Amino acid sequence: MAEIRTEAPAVDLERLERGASLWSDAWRRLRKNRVAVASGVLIVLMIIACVVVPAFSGYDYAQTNLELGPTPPSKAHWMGTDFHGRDLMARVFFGGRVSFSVGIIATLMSFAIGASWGGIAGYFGGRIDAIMMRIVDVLYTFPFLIFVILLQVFFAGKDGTLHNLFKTILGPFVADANDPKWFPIFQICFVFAALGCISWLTMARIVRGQVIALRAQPFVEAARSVGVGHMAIVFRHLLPNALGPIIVYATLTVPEVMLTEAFLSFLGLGTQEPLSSWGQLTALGAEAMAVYPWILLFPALMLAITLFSLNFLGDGLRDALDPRIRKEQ
Amino acid sequence: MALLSVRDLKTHFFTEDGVVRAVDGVSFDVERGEVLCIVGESGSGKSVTGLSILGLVPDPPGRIVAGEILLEREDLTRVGEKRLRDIRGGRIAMIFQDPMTSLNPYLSVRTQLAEVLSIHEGVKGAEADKRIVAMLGDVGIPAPESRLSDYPHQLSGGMRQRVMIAMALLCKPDVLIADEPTTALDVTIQAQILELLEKEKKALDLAIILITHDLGVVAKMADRVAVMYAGRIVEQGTAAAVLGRPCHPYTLALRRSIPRLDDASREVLPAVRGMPPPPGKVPAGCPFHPRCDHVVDRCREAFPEERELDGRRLSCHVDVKAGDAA
Repeated sequence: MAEIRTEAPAVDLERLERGASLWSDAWRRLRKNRVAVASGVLIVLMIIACVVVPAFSGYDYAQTNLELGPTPPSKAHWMGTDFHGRDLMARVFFGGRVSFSVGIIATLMSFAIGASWGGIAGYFGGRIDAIMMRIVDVLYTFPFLIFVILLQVFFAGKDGTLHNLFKTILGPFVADANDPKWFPIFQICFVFAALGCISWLTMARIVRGQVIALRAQPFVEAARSVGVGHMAIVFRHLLPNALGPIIVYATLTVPEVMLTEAFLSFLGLGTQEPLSSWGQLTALGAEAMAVYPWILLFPALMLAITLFSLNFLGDGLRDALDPRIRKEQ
Repeated sequence: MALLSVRDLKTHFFTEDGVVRAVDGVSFDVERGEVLCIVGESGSGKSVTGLSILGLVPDPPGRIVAGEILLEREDLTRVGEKRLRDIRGGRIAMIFQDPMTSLNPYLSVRTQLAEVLSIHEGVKGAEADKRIVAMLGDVGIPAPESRLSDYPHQLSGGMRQRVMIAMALLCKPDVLIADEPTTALDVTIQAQILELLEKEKKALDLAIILITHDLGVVAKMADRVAVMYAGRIVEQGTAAAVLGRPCHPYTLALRRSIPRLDDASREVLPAVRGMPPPPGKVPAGCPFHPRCDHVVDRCREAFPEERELDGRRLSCHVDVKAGDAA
């Protein structure tokens, strides 16, 4: 027989106390999603490893040992060594720094520029929308590769405009900005900037479409009728409603730019030896796959783990951010 | 001078198919503590009138082309967007037909109400929570503190409409525009919401503009009634005069189309014959003339000047005997 309960229905007091905002509610829901939490933990661990391992493994990512050459994983080199006898583990986690930075910067650009751009264009519509989206179209039609090559050739050489600009910015922070050791760093920044420039375009289109569908909803009119301003409507009312697609697309952006970075590196436009990135390591490893499989295996494994985790985390975030989806397990 | 006075308001929509004169010369006044009901069929311009007052007509394609909206001598058609934003929710608030979609599904009740308070009064945090809980209790939400963190989908339709009303009244406006506030609700909830509006009217000394096509609602709520047809008010006056002794053929026809339980003699419910004119194709002269039983030649030529008759303002060329109502 069912037990008869006499106490009043439990009100979640803890929830009441903390003014439940969209984010704190989302965080509470996200914590209940085990897969998403595990993925998040994995990503954090990976980032920590990328920061810590190259510094404390005892091997330098650039230190060659030509006598040693490529060796399989061993006690001395947990992930083996590459063609030049460099410790692969140091290289893989050093490469992770570059790959993560590229992913994070591209995602931030997507969020910051893409979502606001698309949100504003979609909400205001008419001429504003037409102008803003034509700018996106123009940037879209620009062949990315040619764009990067042209920039590289004309502005990013040893004495190119962009390189000089970089040296000017760097100047106050380092002893000698003209030291050639900064050139590879400049190269990476250049790749970041180039990828950042294109990563927000699709986001802008996706968000615009979402916002156009949403702005006709009565709650927009209702919010206007109590005095909410245009920008507050775009950023506080409409974009949160579009967060599902935004998050999903953002999690897709990360692998996309990591792979684009690999592609640029492969062409010699991105990360240059002796620096490494996951994309570059995978590309090199693929050449020697049949003979030295570990050179491919480890960077590819790290890449795969990261991308999988990002996808699961993205899924979890999307569900957690939608108050209507309740998966109370 | 009335609290809110609309003078010869014209709101037109400039579409690809031509100009739609959604509101074409509407004048009315509302006083504190008074309910003015605007009645009319779909497309008669009731809602656009409401939106025009708040400057919320979608532009483009819509625009207020003429007229004045005077809120205590301040012409709202001439003030800027910034001033309008202060007025919206601060002095004039609006509630809408569909409570299911009028609240943002992604924001909790607290967040949505707190936003209004922070915009108009800069009240935030615990102080805002206190005000919100008090207001929610006021509009009849039981255990309001337990509802703060709820999202709209966790509330019933009636509850949501109460939250909407709370949001509209939070900053103690002077005028409340209610655009078919009960249409989407079931009958028992309708009655509750109307009673709530009545109560708040008394408590806050509100002027209420109630937009509806439900004559039952009008009979229950209205102090004064304005009947709209094709963008114009054809008859307005006290509820007793307009509903009790209608003088305009359109009001008459509407009255006759209300089913009555105590009258078994009529087997077929008389409807207003014909259809309302499609937007942008309003006939010349009196727009009602193709559907009118009392049409005379003049009706096809000129829109009748508004005149005083038997305690109301009427726009009709013909003197229809009020006795025809029954």
